[in-house]
This record gives sequence, C-alpha cells and structure tokens, in this order.
Amino acid sequence: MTSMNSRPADILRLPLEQLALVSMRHLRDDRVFERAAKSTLYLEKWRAADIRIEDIETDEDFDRIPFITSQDLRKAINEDPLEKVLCSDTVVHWFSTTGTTGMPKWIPYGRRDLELYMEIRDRCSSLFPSREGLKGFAVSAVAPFVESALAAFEKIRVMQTRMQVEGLIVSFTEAEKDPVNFALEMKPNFIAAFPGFAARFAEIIEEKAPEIARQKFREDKSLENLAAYLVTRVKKIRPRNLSRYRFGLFGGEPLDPYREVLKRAFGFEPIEMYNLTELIYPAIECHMHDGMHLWMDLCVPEIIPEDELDREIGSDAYTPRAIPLWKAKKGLKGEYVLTSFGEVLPLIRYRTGDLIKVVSTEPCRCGITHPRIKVPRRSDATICLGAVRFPAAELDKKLLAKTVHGEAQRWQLKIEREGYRPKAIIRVEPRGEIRDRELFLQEISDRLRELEILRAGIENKIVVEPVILLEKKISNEGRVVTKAGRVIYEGENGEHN
Amino acid sequence: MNTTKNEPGLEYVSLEDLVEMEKTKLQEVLPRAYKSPFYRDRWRTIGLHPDRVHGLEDLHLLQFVPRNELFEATRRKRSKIVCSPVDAWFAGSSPANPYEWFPFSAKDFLGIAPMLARMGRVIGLRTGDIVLAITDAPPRISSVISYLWTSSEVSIFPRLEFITASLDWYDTLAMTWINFIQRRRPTVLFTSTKNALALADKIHRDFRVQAREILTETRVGIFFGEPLGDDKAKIMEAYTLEPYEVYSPTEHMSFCAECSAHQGIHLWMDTCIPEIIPIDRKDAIPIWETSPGTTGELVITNFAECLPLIRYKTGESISVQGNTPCTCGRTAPRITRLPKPAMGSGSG
Repeated sequence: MTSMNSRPADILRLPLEQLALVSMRHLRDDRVFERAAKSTLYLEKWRAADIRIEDIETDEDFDRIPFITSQDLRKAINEDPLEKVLCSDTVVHWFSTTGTTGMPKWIPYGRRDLELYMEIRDRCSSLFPSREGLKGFAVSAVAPFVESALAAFEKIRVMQTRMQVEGLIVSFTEAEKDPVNFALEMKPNFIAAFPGFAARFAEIIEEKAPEIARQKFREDKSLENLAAYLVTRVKKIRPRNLSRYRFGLFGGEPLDPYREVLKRAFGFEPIEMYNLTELIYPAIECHMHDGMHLWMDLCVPEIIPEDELDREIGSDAYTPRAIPLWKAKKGLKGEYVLTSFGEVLPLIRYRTGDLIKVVSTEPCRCGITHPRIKVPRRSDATICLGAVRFPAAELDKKLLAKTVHGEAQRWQLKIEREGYRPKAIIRVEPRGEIRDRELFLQEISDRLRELEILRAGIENKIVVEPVILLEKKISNEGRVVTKAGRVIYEGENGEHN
Repeated sequence: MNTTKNEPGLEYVSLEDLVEMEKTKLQEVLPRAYKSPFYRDRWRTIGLHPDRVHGLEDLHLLQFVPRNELFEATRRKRSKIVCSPVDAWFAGSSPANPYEWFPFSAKDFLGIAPMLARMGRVIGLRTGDIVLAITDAPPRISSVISYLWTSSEVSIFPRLEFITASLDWYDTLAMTWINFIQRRRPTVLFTSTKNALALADKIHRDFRVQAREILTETRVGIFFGEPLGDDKAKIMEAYTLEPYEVYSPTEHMSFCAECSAHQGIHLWMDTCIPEIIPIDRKDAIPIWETSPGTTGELVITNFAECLPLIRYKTGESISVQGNTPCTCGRTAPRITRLPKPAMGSGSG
C-alpha cells in the first residue's frame, strides 16, 4: 500500500525514469512481495517458478515473477480459504466485477486503499477548473459493482472538501424514470456516465422534448411555453439547448466512438477516465485530451504487446513477455499488466485482460509526465459492444447449437458502428446442409436474444440489432477468440483507438 | 444527522438535560427555517414570526407540516425552498409516491456517519463483524450508506467489513452474489424489512432452504424502512438472528435504533424534538411528556441545515414504550412503530 511521498505537484511532473523508481520503491517500502508471498494467490505459482522474494532486486528479477490472471484471482477468492488469500484482515469493502468474462471477481479494499482513492480522486479533480457551484448528476451502476461505491465516494469527498456541488446519483436501471427528469429540471451543467448511456440520453431528450414542451404549454399557457413548444417542432433539441453543460466525465467503455456525438449534444469537451475493479484509482485525461494519464506511483504498469499475445494464442505453452509501460513505444498495443500495492490484496503482475494502447510516454503538453494510454477494448475473449460485454464462449453456445433446420460450425463477428452504436455483423458457416435458411437464421437470432445483456442493450438502444449472415465459407480474418469464432473490431487501427 | 456531537455520553444524558438541549436547538433552527419560503409563507399566513416562539412550550404555535405538502414542495420548488445550498438529493418513497425527493447539505449528509456509528454501538456491533448491506439503487439514500458509514473517523472502531449488494443484480448475468455471501459468511444483515423478506424468498426459490441455511453466521439483523411489525415473524422464520429495528426515513436520517433490551426504538432527542398526535386528539404532545402506551402519529422537528423539518407529520404510527431510562442505561424515549403507517414509511 502506497502513500505519496512527494508533494502532489512534484509527483505529477517527475521525469519518467524517476517515476519508475518511485513505483519500484513502493514495492519495497510497502513490503508488497513479503505480504503477497503469504497469499495462496501466489504461493504455488511462485514456488513452481522458484521465486524467492529476497532475490527480487532488479528489473530482470521482477520479470521472472509469473503472471497471474483473472482466472487465478477468481479461483483463489472463490475456492481457497479467504483468510489464506488475503494479506490482511482489514477489509472494509468488497467490490465485484460484473462477470461479463465469466464468473464475477470479488476484490477487497482496506481503509488505507480507500484513503488513497480519495487522494487520487483529488489529484484527478485538480487537473480541471474547480467544480465549485456545478450541479448535475452521475449515472451509476448498483452495488456490488465498484461504480456504485465510486459514485458515493465522489459525493462524500466533494462534501468533505467543502466544495459546493449540487448533485444526485441515478441508477442506470432507472434511466428513463423520474430521477432523470428530476435531474434535468435541475438545469444540470455536469454529467458523469457511461458514454453510451449519455449519448442515448441525449437522444431521449431529443425525442421527448416536443412532448414535454406541449405538456408544459397545456399546464401553463404562457407565451414562453408556447414559444418553447413551437421551437421543438422546428428544431432538434439537444441537452445543450436546455442547459449549459460545462463538465462531462465518462468511463466504463472507450469514449472515442462517442466523443463527437457528446460534444455536439452537450457542448463540452468530454473527459475520459478508466479504472478497474481490481485497481480503482482512475487514469484520466487532462485538458489536452490526448490519452489518459496512468499514475505510475500507484502501480507498476506493464504491457504484453499484441504480437506476444498472438504467439500465446498459437501455443498454449508459450509465456508472453511484458514490457514496462514506461519503456514501451508510442502506439504499442497490448494487454495491460499491473502490479498494485494494495493493503489487503496486492496484485502482482496481474493480467487485466484489457487492451491498452500507449499514446505516449513523453511528457504531456500539460506538463504531466505520467504515461498516457487509451483502452480500446478487452484483450481477452470477451466480446465488447461498448458497455455490452459477454464472453465469446456464449456466442459458441448460441451460434453453434444444433437446430432442426441445420447447424453452424464456425462464426466470425465483425463489430462496426452505426452512428455511435456498436453493431454486430455475424457470419456463420454451415456444417453440412441447412434445410431452411430463413428459419435457421431466425432460430439463431432468437437464441442470440437469450443473451440477457445483449437483449437489454438492444432494447435500450445502446447497441444495434445484430445482423446474422449465412455464408458457405467464412474468411480467416479476425482474432481467434474461441475454437470456432473470430472477432474483427472495425477501425481497430483507426480513429476509434 | 443534525447532531453537533456524537459522544457516547450523549446517549446517557438525563431527559431533562436533553429537553434543555432541544430548547437551545429550537431557537437556532427556527430563524434558519424562516429563510425557507416553504415555512415563511406558512407562518406568515397565521401572522407568526419565529421570534414569538420562545421555547418548547410555544411549539404548538407552529402549524403541522403534512408529509405530502413537504414532498410536493421539494418536487416542485426544489432548491427554492431550502435554507442552505443543496449538496445532494436523495429520494425516499411511500405507497403514494415512488420518488419523494429530499435535499441535504454537506453537513446534513456527513452528519449521518456519526449516527451510523451510534447505531452500531447501540446494537453492539463489534470489530470483525462482516456486514451484508442490501441496498436499493440510487437515488435511494441506502445506496450510499455503507460507504458513508466507513468514510468517517468515528467509524474506525469497531472495524467493520462490508459487502454491499443490490437485489436488482441478485442473479443477473453471471452475477450471483449470494454465492460469495456463502463463502464470506456475514455476521450482520443490514437492510430494509422489505429487502430482507425478498432475499429470503430468493434464497428459498434458488436453494429450497430458509435463508438461515445460507447466512449461517448472521447473528444480527438491522432492519430499516418499513416497520418490522408483523413481518418480524416471517423474518424470524427465515433467519436465525437477533432483529433490531431502526427508524430512519430519508428526511430524518438519524438511525434511531433498538438496543439489546428490545424495549422500543430509542428516539434520539439530540437530533429532533419528537411529538405525538394521539389518535383521539388533534394537537400534539411532546413524547417525553406522554404515558407509555400512548398511540398516534409521530411528529418531528429536527435541526437539519438544508431543510429542517418543523412539526413534520411523519405519517408514522407509533406507540410510546417509555420515557424512563432503558435497562441499557440510555435515556432517549422509546417507541414502537405500528404496522400500516398512515402515509407510508418513507423508506430510502
């Protein structure tokens, strides 16, 4: 567990090499290896790799430490005696991942971890003009997801620092109910949300504006209300027309596909942030909007380059190599690996499953020296349709199931965008004869709809209805995600990343 | 909420001293409340200025505030009726209205944490307790309570561990948080009466067992929201725990709690001036002046900064249990909440 030894301004601008030293020094000062070595999460793996903590001194020694994966973490938390997994009995809160990659993971945080979160939240906040006097709302997930806690912590911290910000938290499950109307009537000037939700929210305003204006005019036949109603009949009403938004913070999925839509709708420059349930301290854009600063003093970040990931797919026995993030070249894409200093459960060389892109390790024009990244999607076999995510294996179950009309043997998913919405084009290759093409495709489509999160995404207009095509032979283009399935993310190397 | 101090000693101050404390706080809160058009307009219609209220004996000069009028005002007039800047809005609910919005200043909101600490102390939570907090989705205030509980210095002891979860995501996608609960074995269940029953139903549906077979180590249940009343029997059928009832509606987050003597809910007199309108009367009597067994509607005047409640008719049907010190030694009057409240529970 770390605390910042340097003054906030200093730590933001330390040369990268010194930041790397700070990061490595925390490993020693916080006795991270000593604490972790007692956990069953590491015990066997380290023993098998002949890792002795007293021998870990150099970068090369660090490089020998085996990775742990989300499966390792999940297995330890779900199967081992918890008192043997945790490195301390000072857990204050448990947070869970959604389980979109399979089973959810439960992550413990101690008091000092949470105090550090508040410090880093202050750091992020300091990058922007004061929010004093703002009013608005945050759209949050519900417990046990970490977003629920972070929305509460934000509210608590703002109050503790005596900054006056009027706000409310709305659950995304109540997005079209009274809470959002209440928030809108507040004439909000900030919003914090998933970008996909905010974009949809802007559409809802556009759709509902004429009806609301008409209702207001019926209730009060003033000239002002009449004028407002008439305006809605000739002009597209956007959130920016109703309220002067000044600040928008977005996380939970990549912002880039939504950035222009949100700019037009709200009239602000959106700010992107990124955190994981496993490491809640947010990486965040500064006002240069050129990648999110990943705070080097809070973890030891590494990246497994994509070509290493591809080699791993080709050979189960291959162990990919990771590069310290501060040594990575601009534009490099790969899996984010982190080592954290957590009080209750430090994560050592943890493969996050998130694909990151190194925007730059050079000092930012804002003066901050911490590396900048983007997070286009997951690097593992999770299908990412914006905030709608599910394991690729679920597609195997749905697309390859035997039907009375025939059966598919391979599939290829291409993820495009229709406007800002993700759109899945699914090609399936038949195994043998398909007796009725239309009925076969209909049955597959119905099965796909059984994926609850996908169905919810479609119904809430967060994603577009998938298109399913039957092709005699599908190409080998795309990343292998299951034995029968491949995925292509359109614009993978384009502006969306 | 609305307390200025939270020393354990306050729980044992004599009733006379608590009444004296209320007198002082009343003199502070009325000029503040007068800043709100909600109160100013009401009081002006009867030609009353707060200066004329010299003490608790003059409280009757102020009109009652019906619950529906309060929430109609917060919904329609919002920040225009508050006495200090609003930092947060949360919504309670009632059978008549699913979203009853209420404003909080930072002082009001952060002041909830010491009340949670007091509740924990009164109930006897101890270091090492693992709390399963089942909360509702935002904008319900319960969604932030477990995080607020641990955010303050006052909550360092006893050291508690929280697993916070919502029934909305009990079994959605791969999320089946009850599996983790089985592993972590919480010792305390902190939730609304409604959610406790819903959880028991879900467990019965999924596992074909009573909740006690899953929550094997849960020794304490803390129930807020709806009155425990008749549901207590159902809860005791499903769980093996000692139930503690808490009264803490969104608009008065004081976490008034039963102690281990279970002789009624302690109404924290340092957070409010409680009165009761007996069922056979139209006027209200200070609760500390009533006889045990008096039944009627609870009326509260509190000392909130943003929107104080002044003679607020809670819609809560209560019975006074006693005004003499409890066997636990605490002096706050004790009440029982009665089922079928007049206007709903204001659960948050």
